[in-house]
Amino acid sequence: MKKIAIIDYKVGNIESLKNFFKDLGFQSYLTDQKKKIEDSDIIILPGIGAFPSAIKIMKNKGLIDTIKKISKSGKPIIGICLGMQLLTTKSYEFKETMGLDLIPGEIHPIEDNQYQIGWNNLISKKIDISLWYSPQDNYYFNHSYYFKGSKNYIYATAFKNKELPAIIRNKNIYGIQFHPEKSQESGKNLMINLLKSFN
Amino acid sequence: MLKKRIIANISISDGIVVQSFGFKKKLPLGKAEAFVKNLDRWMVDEIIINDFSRSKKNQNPNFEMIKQIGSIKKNTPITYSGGITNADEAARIINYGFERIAIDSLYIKNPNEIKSIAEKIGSQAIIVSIPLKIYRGKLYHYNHVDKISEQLNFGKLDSYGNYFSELMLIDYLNEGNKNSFNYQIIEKFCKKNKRLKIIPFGGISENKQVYKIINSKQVTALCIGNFLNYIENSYQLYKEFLTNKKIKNIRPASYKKNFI
Repeated sequence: MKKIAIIDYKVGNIESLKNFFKDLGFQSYLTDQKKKIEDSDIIILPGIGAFPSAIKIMKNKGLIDTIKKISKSGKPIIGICLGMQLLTTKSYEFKETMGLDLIPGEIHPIEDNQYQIGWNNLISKKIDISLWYSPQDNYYFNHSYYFKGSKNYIYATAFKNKELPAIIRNKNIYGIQFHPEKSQESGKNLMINLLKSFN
Repeated sequence: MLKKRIIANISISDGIVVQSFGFKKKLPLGKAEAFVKNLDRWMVDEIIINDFSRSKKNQNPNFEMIKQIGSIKKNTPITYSGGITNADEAARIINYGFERIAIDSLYIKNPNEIKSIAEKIGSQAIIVSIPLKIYRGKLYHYNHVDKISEQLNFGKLDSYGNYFSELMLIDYLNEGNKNSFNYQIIEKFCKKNKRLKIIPFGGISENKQVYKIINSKQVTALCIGNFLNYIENSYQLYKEFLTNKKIKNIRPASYKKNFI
């Protein structure tokens, strides 16, 4: 059975994620230990929180170098919501803060102080067999900052006044702006397909 | 297209779910876990746990209950409200598996703390909830703790508006009473503030009310409490009504009956 390490940076709906992976039949554990992260098969960067505060904790724990190093091995890394944003080059949430830079691009506020909170469907931008979803399916979003970067990395968007990136990818690094763990059947189907694609 | 939500409210007083009438009279209903499991099974858009007794009694969040609810296997977004006083408590609630928190008395007592909370968990995860009434044509904010009403301060809402994402407008006088939500609360609020996104709550029970409220421009969601418990499949019936009315920006009912 594949082992999933959920990175502990003291923010995020950890308990929901652990229940979610258990329900999908995967073993997951919360950790900030280098060895345990290296021993895992899949790495998850959880969501909910503010960018500068999460990065600060990751820096203090030496997690940034660990994750960057592991990313080069080809091991799948999935960022969810804030976790997705941490994967990018930098963010302007509250102040300019450097990210992990695993997916080139920047995180900017949605124009006019807008939020994307609630259920939205996805618009496909690039075909990827590991990211299966139907255009009719709805997913739960909760964010006010979004990814600005090359379209080469944007696999799906969601429309809120304009198209906002919903799934980004750079090789083995996946960023999901919405919460699959809170998107009921749609979220379960998307995540199980993605996890199974790593075999 | 982003959908408007129907949020299911679970009112809690002293650790148990209650049927509440204006947050004063209450009838006990049972344990929160059972209600959360049911609403998750019904595939509602969102759940809010509203532990209104905590702020009233100056108590911090009920972490024992929060932990218990957090451990339930569920795939529905969930918010906690009740007695949150600082950023550490907010972050702890999120860690236990909640996606958002709602601030009530803290907005009156120490609104600057909302900024600290936003810096920790992000403003998208914060709702401010305000009990309101209309008196002599003006909106009054009711303070449950000190039991006083003051005219709603729009300047204060503007100055803290960047630190929360939605504002729950509670018609507290009509909460728990069928078909009684006072639409003037929305009208008067939106006349003075055209920026904040709102979630009306209190006395919303009928399809025609849901239809009217969901069509208001600044409404991003509405909240229904007691009335979800009165009729079998009530949540799905609201959604079916809206779907039949050709409302496109809602998520259709998706509950599948799982008979045992």
